[in-house]
Amino acid sequence: MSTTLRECALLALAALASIATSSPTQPHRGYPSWRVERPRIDAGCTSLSAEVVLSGKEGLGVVLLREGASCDLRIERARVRIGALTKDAIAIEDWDEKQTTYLGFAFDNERTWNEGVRTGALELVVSAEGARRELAYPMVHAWDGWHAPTYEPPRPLPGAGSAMPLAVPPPTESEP
Amino acid sequence: MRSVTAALGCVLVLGCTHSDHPTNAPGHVDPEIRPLVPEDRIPRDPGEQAVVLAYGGTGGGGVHVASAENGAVLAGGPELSAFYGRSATSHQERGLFTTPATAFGANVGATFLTSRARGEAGMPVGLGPQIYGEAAMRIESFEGFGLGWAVDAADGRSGPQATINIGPLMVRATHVLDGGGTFLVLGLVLKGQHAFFWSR
Repeated sequence: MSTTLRECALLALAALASIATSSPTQPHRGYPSWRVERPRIDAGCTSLSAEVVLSGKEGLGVVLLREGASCDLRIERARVRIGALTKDAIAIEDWDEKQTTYLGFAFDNERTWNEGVRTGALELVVSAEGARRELAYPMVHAWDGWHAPTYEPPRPLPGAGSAMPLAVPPPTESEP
Repeated sequence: MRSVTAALGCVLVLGCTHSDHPTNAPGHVDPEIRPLVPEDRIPRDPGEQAVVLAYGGTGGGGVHVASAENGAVLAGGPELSAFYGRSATSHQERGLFTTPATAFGANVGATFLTSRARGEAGMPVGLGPQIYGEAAMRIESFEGFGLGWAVDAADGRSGPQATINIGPLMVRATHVLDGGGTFLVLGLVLKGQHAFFWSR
């Protein structure tokens, strides 16, 4: 077999082998999601953690977890502020046995995404032991790209374990 | 041997590539309903839309039915396509193929011909090249059809053209009016493409 013929045969073999070579793992579509940047805030008698558990075109959902000693902490108002948009929670429910509660916010999140708004805040007004506090959790609309790896399972829901998994470590005592 | 290498090289150049635009990227959720299991956190796929630009060529053989004498014909040439399509499932979930399930668009191209058919007075007819345009539809990514018009660049005669695609196979019929004859060609379509995706 001549060198040219051998080269052509190898080229043809490489072309055929490349026609239908799939990736070793099938990725899935990745979606943008709001994330709380500083998820744990001191609310007086307890610390209050927030985690976005739903984020999509129709709005977002947040689970609040109160940690430490249970005290009579009440959420009087909850809303998100994203750019010029402010939206109150659909409903504010009582704390469940896992010391969590869910806040849903319905708004046109696809529009905020398309307008390029990538930062916002979850704003709470809480009362505990006769004191009223305003808490603000900064949020970012983050995206890891279109292709989400399959080997990464969805994160556990807040309250499923002993402590809420945090996106970033909680502030330490030395922090202002 | 050089021509074989050149042909294989052309096939290798015909890649299928795509790019994703972030418009409408969030998925579907229902914020009124609290997720109960971790899987509930994953948004539902809203599907996608795409513009596909394809480039390549056709080639094949068949018959040329002319007024005086029918003959075999060899036909081939470049073809460009542009499609817009929508899919209920995003391509990231569909795996290997990055083509919208159903798409509408157009093909434009040129067909160079070698025919032994003869028209009136034994003269060759309809030797082209034929320049054509087709409105086209793709179904289930690989099947499709096109309807359009072809013009003989040499003598200006023109007529309707219809194409059916099944995978890389193509059946194309072109009827050139005013005595140009009818071409029926079975061949292959080899195309590379670039798809621009964005979410529904």
